[in-house]
Amino acid sequence: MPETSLIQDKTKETVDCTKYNETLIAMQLKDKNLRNAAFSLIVDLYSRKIYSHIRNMVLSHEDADDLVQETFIKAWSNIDKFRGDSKISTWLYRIAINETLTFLRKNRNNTISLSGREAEVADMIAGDCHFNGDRAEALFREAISRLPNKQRLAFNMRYFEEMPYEEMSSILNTSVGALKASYHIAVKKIEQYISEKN
Amino acid sequence: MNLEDYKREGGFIVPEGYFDKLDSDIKRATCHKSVEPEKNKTVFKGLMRYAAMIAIVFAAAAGIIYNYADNPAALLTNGSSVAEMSNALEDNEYIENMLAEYPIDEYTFYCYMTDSDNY
Repeated sequence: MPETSLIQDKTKETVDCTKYNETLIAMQLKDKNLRNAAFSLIVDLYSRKIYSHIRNMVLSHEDADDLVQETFIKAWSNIDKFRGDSKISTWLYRIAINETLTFLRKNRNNTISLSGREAEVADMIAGDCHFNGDRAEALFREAISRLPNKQRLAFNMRYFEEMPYEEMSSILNTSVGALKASYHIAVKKIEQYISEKN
Repeated sequence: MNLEDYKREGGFIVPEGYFDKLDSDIKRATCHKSVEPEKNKTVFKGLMRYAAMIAIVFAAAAGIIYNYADNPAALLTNGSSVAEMSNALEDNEYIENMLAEYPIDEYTFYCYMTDSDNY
């Protein structure tokens, strides 16, 4: 089956961003007649970002697929609770993070992330049909999977998603300084782990 | 080694056309799902929540005092009770109840419960 990299699909986001008006969409979400169309636009714009974010946390495509759908369904169900105090993306990321951490907690006995079976991560990823990286990249993922959840979140958001610290701060409700420290520590841990393995 | 060598994609791929299918799946799912009506939050409900929290804390303290009234030193020396408390923290049902009772969001709570010391 032909496959697509996550990077290639980001081009669509860039195009859609130019037509996107955060305030207008937030207003349309309040209107029962317009909210369907507004939510469709949100799905078009953010599904890739939310998927990538979740995939970096849970690693498996199948799990990420389930969780991204759960995230948007939960967002839709609770759309009346969105007051527009934060950005729509911030709100979606918070839901996605809650869903992901809940998933990781519930599956701690049979998933790789919290079970203490981190040493098997590289082998598992290398054997995944939805992974086309080499052994070094699998080891890189393994090193990330060993980080505590908060450091892993900070690292993924900064490194893979290139998110500004200010945006991360509003999503994670943590100071910019703490996030910078977290990212720095995460990088050091990853570098040390990979050096030891090599 | 340099982390920039690995760069952003990290080797993850998705089936071709996956995102188009994902978008349509989400839209189909939400189309048939109704929006939950917003619950009116009242000051009274908020106060009741805090009252319930205080009652739980007092009940727990009363339980500890009652159990160890005869031998207060056992509270500090009895290793099994500490172990039981630790096990209780791991129990999913306990965590769910805590989430239901305390006025903090799930994310903050999970961060606190999982790796606050490592952050």
